[in-house]
Amino acid sequence: MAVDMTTAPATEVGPPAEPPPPLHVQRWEPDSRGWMARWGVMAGLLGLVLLLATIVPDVYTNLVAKAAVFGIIALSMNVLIGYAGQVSLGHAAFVGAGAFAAGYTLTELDLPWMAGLVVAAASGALAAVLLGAVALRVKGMYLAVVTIAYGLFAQEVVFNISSLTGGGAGQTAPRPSLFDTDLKYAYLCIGMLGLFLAFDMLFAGSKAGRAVRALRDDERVAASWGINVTGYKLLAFVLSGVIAAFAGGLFASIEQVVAPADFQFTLSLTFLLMTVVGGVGNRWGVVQGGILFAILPQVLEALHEVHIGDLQPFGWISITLEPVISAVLLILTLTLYPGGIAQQQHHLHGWLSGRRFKDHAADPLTHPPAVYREGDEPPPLSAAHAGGAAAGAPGESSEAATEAGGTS
Amino acid sequence: MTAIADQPGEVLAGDPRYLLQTSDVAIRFGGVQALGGVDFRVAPNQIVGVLGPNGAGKTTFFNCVSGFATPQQGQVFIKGEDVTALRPDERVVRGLGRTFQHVGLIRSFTLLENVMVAHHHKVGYGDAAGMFGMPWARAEERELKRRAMEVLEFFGIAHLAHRTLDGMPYGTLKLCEVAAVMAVDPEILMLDEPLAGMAPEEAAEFCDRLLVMRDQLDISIVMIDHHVPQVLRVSDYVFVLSFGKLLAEGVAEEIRTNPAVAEAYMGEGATTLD
Repeated sequence: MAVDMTTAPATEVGPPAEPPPPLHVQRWEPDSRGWMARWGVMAGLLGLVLLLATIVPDVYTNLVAKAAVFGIIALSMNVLIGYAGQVSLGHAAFVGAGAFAAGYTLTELDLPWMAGLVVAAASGALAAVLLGAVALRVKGMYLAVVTIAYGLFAQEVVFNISSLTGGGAGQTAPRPSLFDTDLKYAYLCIGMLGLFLAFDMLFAGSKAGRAVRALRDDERVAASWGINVTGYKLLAFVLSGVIAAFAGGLFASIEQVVAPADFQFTLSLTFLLMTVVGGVGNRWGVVQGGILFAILPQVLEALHEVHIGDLQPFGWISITLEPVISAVLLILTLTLYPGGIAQQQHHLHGWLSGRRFKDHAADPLTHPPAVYREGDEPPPLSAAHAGGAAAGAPGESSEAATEAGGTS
Repeated sequence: MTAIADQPGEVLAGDPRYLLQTSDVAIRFGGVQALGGVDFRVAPNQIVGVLGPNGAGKTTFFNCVSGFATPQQGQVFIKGEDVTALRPDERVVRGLGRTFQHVGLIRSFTLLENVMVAHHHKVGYGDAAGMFGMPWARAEERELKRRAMEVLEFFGIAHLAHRTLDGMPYGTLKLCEVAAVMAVDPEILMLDEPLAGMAPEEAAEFCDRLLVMRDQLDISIVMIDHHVPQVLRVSDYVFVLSFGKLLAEGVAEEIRTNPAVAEAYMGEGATTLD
């Protein structure tokens, strides 16, 4: 039997006919001016991100690189938590494995920089397969405990093998000669973040990504559609581990030295927090969460140092407040915006992807939109779906506000 | 139409003439014998009804057939091949599709995404090719979307393609579920209580659609339901389970007038299901 149901009735025999053109459901689309506005805002946001590395004071250039790396780590967490629905409280182990693997390859083996990243990614894959092999047998709370144990094991045992990690003094990880300055390296990290965002989009929209996201909702249903549940869960673990370890390799070369003390258990907690606050399941949200948590300590420190005349208005703020602020952010997210930063930017995301800023289109259940074949003239949009006619120009002010929040 | 199913005496285990066959399937949960040796057959191009009072083991039987439960005894065959040891997804590849008593759809997906993910094992490109956006994978994705829309159009729900599933009426959800499982391209479609919660007209319309599917798509359908009149109306052959055992089997008319079946359903003294 053919899946193609248009050719299903077995009344005519002969060579298979050309498949009919694709069907489309009619929906509202912005006009050319609307699209231009959207592209303009997107280009502006991108420009802002690219400019940021140059306009910040030199002491913060490495912070930009760190923020980009945290963005990549957030994407890695998102693959596991947001797509596969598995929790990880030991992600610092993957990042650390990648960092030390890269450092070891660069310093001890004296291999080119790219090789360091490849070895880092491979070490992440290996670490993830090891964790996955155990983790696939347990669920929920037990999985969380296993990942904690895994992270602690890496931190206490593996990262203290001095010949690999350099012990307390740390392992040096030089930068590639092409990106040797802070600024160039920051741009390299931003570029990598862009690459991983693109990869994430491709993955989520492909066969494997759909399978992983489906089994998060309901493993039985996924299996009833022919999805190998265990296999795809393991794939999610491995992908997440590879991305995190790759980010670890990048991280190692920011300060050009990494020590076991950089990968404490609390770092794993930060990774989880930034993913949740960013908005589990939404790539743009988690990246912003990652950036927010990457710069939070330095923001607090900078506030502390602010002097107005002799006055130090934020003198009471100190870096020790970071866990408190993180906890408050987590509680606010869970109670007010379970979708995190992404939920707060919901309208902006919708508008940028070609819908109205506030989408009031009628429910297709009660007002069925027209379905037409490609090539046919679509019938005029019904009033229920065309509603909110002047939708091409959303409120500029609210948008600017979200934008400012978005790049924080 | 029921020619080969009419001769149960001559059937051997693993007979390739049957799309689906079980032989002496038994499963026990603790002290409860949920199934006690069930022999079951589905011939090509048939609608087979599975009837039985609550707790008769119908859903457990479905789970054994589709691989979600492992029978302690007996075998399951798909087209003559022993699949007893295979995972659910491996049975799907061999032509077995099923729905669930609760609605078996992915709630966080749109309807179109549901049908596309249900196409999973029909997708030719590799996982890696998709992840790295290879041109052939992207071309197949477009074709996949086209097919998914055709499936939805066949079931008359194409206009809901981009809608998520919240707030959809139960009957529509059940139809969406069948649309999704048809994307699996099954030769045997197993429906677990598809009519539960439907209004009588909705149920009749749904059953008419099953007849169309059997005739146009050349598949066999196995259906569990409590809606006895509708099941007897559309089924070519009926099995009746009671307390984990096969109580009766036969064409709809034989079942309707079988006093043992009537007694199991209606209580002592009843002689027909009407």
